[in-house]
Amino acid sequence: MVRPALTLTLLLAAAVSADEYYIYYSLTSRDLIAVEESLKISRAMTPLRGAAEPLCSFETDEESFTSFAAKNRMKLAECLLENSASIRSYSLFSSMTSQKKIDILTTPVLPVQVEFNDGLVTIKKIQQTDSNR
Amino acid sequence: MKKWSLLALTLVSTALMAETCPTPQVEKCQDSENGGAVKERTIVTPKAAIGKVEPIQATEPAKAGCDTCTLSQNNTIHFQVVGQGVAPVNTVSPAQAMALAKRAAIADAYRQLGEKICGVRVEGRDLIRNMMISRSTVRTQIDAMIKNAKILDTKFKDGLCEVEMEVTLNGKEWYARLSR
Repeated sequence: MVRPALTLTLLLAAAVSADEYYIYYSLTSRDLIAVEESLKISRAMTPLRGAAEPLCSFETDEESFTSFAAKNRMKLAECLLENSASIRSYSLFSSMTSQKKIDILTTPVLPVQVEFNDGLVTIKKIQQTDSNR
Repeated sequence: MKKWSLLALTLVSTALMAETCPTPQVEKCQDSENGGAVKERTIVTPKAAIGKVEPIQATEPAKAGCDTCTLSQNNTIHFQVVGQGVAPVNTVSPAQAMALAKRAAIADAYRQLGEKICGVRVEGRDLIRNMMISRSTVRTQIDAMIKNAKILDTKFKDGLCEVEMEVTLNGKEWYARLSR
């Protein structure tokens, strides 16, 4: 009696597994050409506490979030940028002609909860308040 | 014969100078401080070189009731921009080139939104050497945080990617912060 219940619990846990990560995205473009891009993902070392708010969801065949992120970098970046993005831009015009233009697009480091459920990955952002940090 | 032509030329040039240069008016006045000595003062009245400038008619004020022009506490405005990105030359495949062009276009669109919402810091420098501008530089800087911007459309054409992006500002939430 105990064994089937344990198996069922393990199967359910495998089907709906939620992991917590910190994600950061940065893109640098120079004269309208993308020159550098970085997507950094780090598993949270301590459990993140706070209300989880759905951010975006994708269909995928991948089994881990890191492999999903590696193959769907643009989708993930668009999802993160839609939430919040910081833009810094520097232009230089010399003798009435444009000499240099640099745009740096970054997202703040975002704590997220990632759920894999039957081929669907759901990313939820965790709203951490000062008290539960 | 040569003398006569030279004389005629001199006369013509003198007449032209008299026409273009204003005739000085000599005014006599008594100097009370210097024992009433009579002083001659030359007054040159400049000839008006520019015609009369008509005052510019005031243009019609902006139409009243335009809700989408400026942000107020009661309205919502949409900012829509088109960002452009160019595919780099040294890419492995066309797909990579398109993806990179799209990323650059997104960054450009965010820059334009930042320009519109938060403004641009402009710094100009002119280096003048020997009474001449030897170097003139203008630096612009944008530092903005954009939330909830949506990509509406993406187009690729001839190595150029265009991303149409929109952000909505709700007056209730943003008017107080942006009007500071």
